Amino acid sequence: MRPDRREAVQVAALLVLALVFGLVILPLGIGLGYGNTGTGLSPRFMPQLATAGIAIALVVGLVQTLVGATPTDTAAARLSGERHPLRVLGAAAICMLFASVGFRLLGFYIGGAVMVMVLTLLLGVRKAAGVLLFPIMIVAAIYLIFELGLQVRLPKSDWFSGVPL
Amino acid sequence: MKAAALINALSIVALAVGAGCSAENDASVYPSKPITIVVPFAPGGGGDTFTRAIALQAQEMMGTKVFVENRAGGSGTIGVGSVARARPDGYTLGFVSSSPVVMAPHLLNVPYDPAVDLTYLARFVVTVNPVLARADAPFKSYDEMLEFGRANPGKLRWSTAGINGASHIATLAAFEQEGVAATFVPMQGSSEVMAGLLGGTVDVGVISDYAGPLAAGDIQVLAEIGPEPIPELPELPTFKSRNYPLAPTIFYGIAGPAGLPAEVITKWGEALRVITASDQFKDVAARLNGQVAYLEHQQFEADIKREIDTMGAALRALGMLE
Amino acid sequence: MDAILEGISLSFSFAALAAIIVGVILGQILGSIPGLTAAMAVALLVPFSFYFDPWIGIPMMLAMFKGSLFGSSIPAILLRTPGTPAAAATLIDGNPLAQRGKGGKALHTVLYASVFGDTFSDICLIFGASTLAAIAIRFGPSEYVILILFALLSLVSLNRGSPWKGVVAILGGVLLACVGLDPITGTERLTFGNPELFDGIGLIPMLIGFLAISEVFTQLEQPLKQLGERTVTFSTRREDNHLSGAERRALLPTLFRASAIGTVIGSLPGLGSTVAAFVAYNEARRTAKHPEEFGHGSLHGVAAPEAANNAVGGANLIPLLAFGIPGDVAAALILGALLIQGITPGPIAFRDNPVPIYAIFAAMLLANLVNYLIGIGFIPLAKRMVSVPKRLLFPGVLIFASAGAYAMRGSLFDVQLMFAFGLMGWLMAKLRFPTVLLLIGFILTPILERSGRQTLILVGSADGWLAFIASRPVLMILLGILGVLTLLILRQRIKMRYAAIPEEPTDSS
Repeated sequence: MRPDRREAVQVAALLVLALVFGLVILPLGIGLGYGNTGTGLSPRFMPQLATAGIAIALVVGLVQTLVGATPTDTAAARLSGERHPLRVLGAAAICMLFASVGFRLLGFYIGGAVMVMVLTLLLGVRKAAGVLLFPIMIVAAIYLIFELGLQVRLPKSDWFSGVPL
Repeated sequence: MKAAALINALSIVALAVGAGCSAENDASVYPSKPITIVVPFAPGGGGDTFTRAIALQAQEMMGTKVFVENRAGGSGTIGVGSVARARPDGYTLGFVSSSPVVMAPHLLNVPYDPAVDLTYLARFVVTVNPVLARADAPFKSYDEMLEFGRANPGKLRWSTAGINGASHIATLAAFEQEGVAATFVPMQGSSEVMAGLLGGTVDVGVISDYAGPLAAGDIQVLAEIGPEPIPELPELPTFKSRNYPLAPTIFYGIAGPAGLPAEVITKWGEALRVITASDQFKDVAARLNGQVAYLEHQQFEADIKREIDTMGAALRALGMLE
Repeated sequence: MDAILEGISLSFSFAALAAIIVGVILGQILGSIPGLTAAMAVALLVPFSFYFDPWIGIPMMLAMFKGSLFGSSIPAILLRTPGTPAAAATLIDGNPLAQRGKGGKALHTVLYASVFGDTFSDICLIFGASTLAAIAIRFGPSEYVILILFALLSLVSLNRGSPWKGVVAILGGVLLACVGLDPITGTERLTFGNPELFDGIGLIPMLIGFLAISEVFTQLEQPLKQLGERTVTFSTRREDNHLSGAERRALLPTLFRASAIGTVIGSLPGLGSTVAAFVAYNEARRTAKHPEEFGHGSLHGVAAPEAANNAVGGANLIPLLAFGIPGDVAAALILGALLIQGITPGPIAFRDNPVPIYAIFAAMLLANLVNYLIGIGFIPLAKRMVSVPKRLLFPGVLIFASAGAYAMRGSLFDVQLMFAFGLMGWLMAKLRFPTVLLLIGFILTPILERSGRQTLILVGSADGWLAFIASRPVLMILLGILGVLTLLILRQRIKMRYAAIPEEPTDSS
């Protein structure tokens, strides 16, 4: 697919998303309040205004991409070249998994060490010092700063309730 | 005075030593492991500071670590909800105040029933919430303010620290009963209200932090919205003396999940009684603008249940609840 | 006079000096960790100030705030992941410098600008607190609406790509800011019954997600071979690692202007250091001799946001010391510590018990000096810290940010949000939407919406619009300035169109 054609598809998808949000999700998600305090604008006003603005901007964008009026974006040599988006999705999935389940089950310290370990493996670290020692060092630093220094209690394990970490 | 302080200190040491000995490896005696007190607000606020002061003193008396954990969010309902769902063994307790217990359950969808799911151990502090006005306002007393409000419908602008908080609803009900049509300007936090009051955005504010501007002579105190008069200004009217539908007590206390063992209830009741009587705690309370007001478990629980009911009735009367 | 001397001597005691040194070191370290802000660290330490002498606890807190603003720029420049949101503007020019091996020079510029901004606003605080506060207190909701329109007008020009993408980004930020309880009626908005969202989307997960995590994700896309390398390498030439006297002098006009912007924004409660940094950056670019250097490593582009965000710190204490009203989280925490020590700030404190106030002033100035000296020592250390290859560094950043996002509210939900926003920010950068504008929309919306709707209520209570405006002199002045500024900007735009300078592409992530 030509790049501008692909961009047009992306913009159209975003436009559909904005319309669904504004017409379906927004009225569902915001009640109209107690209605007796005489408080001027409705709670829906600001989000509705924003959604309408987004939809209009996307329509303008769609027209511009179809006409080809957008200046060719030479931005960011930083973002070009060989890219591996799948690795990002993998890393994000690992982070989300630990943030939603891992830290709760294993506790922040054990879970955190495992998370760093998995991430370093994903990023191609193969030396034992990097895979084993580094996560322990990082977690120890977090323990020192947060638990001992700032007196924050990071999540404790649901499984090993006796473990102080 | 000195002797009393010494005896007090000695008794704390004795308690600590006693608790330390008996607690060692004996799981049948409470407490045998660290206790966590959940603060449902972010660190640094008044409730957080009070709880940490209590935790430090309780730690000595109980002979075990007492951690303070901040679990903020949901106007305090997240932290209180997590306490309500905790195992009722006395090792997870929580700080409670009016907003997540008396107000939020009526107006928001919260994951607990404050009258059923919590055991209220003891109240330790109440705060005064006066009706304030600028010193150069066209009225010099509460009655003159009401008169001004009746004479100028919609012109009297007022605000409180929280939208739909106890002081907001109580003042709304009071104005309704007095036939004053005032304009409520919603604001967030007592500092915004004080700035609005001093800068002329609002004419009347109901907030508890007012010591600085009062001392400077910038503001005047008109009335107190709670049941008890302000100790320094006993001649001012209170919402209770005016027989308004609501005269809420803005309180701080400690609670645990429903079904706590009797031993935990008595132990914490006693600990909080001793702590609130200590000079150290009185000092902390005075500096943080609170009045030490210990209230034991059964009375506290009865008080809260009554406040929840009167608040519900007042909200229905104002048309804010079906 | 005696009170002044006594106050100064309090701050020059050995204990106070030690507290300032410890505070600065802690601040610089904590600030450099993404997700951990000084406000959070200080909040967690406030209760312990019960057990400190006041002249240990309060100087230490002040020093921590100052140290952390410098610390937070270190990862912004070297890793493109700002330690706190206030450093987000610094990376636009700071990172390109580091990419060319001039990381040392960039860090020295940051330190110089930070200490300059700090000292500038501290002096304004010391000599002009009551005057500035008397003006600031006249700013009600209607004046805030105009101010935020100023800020928006200035900040939309940060967008260098397609205008429609900028609009989508900024309004996306507006939408995210609407989640939570309605600021006027208190009804739930877009929370879908989830109590974690009642108080809105947290600033920390939002900003760290979009700024730091999204950048880590963007860099993880590189081939594995590149991940084994360092983020930046440092040139060993002396001129790339220090700031010469001539360069320091050349920066002075930018520093004065940026510090003044920071001081004004800081003395008005609620706007904050991130906004100040972006406005100052934009002003520096608008008035620069070489605006084309901006975005490619201009020293002015590094200095302006840093001077401004540090100036906010001192200025935030203006409403606190004049009226006892804290301007932001940092000032609120200092207020808490002062109350614990039995000091109620306000005009009455100046009259009845001025010694502690003068001690605070002395401590602030002393902390600036200490911040500079320790910063000089911290720079080589910071360079060594990033000598770890990216494939170890980035997992470290991700886990530290998780701990930081959790600590503020004790909520794993915030950690999940942070990663979700990280992913969103990465996608936005891929599709070339300006993330920075989304953040600005998010930061400014709550105060704009609240002030706007409060204004409507106030107008309803007055006798119509005209009577309302006539009753507020500050509002009339602001409206006049806004009108003139709009005309000036329009004229500049039209001129630029005719001059037909090609739009210069910049990286917006």
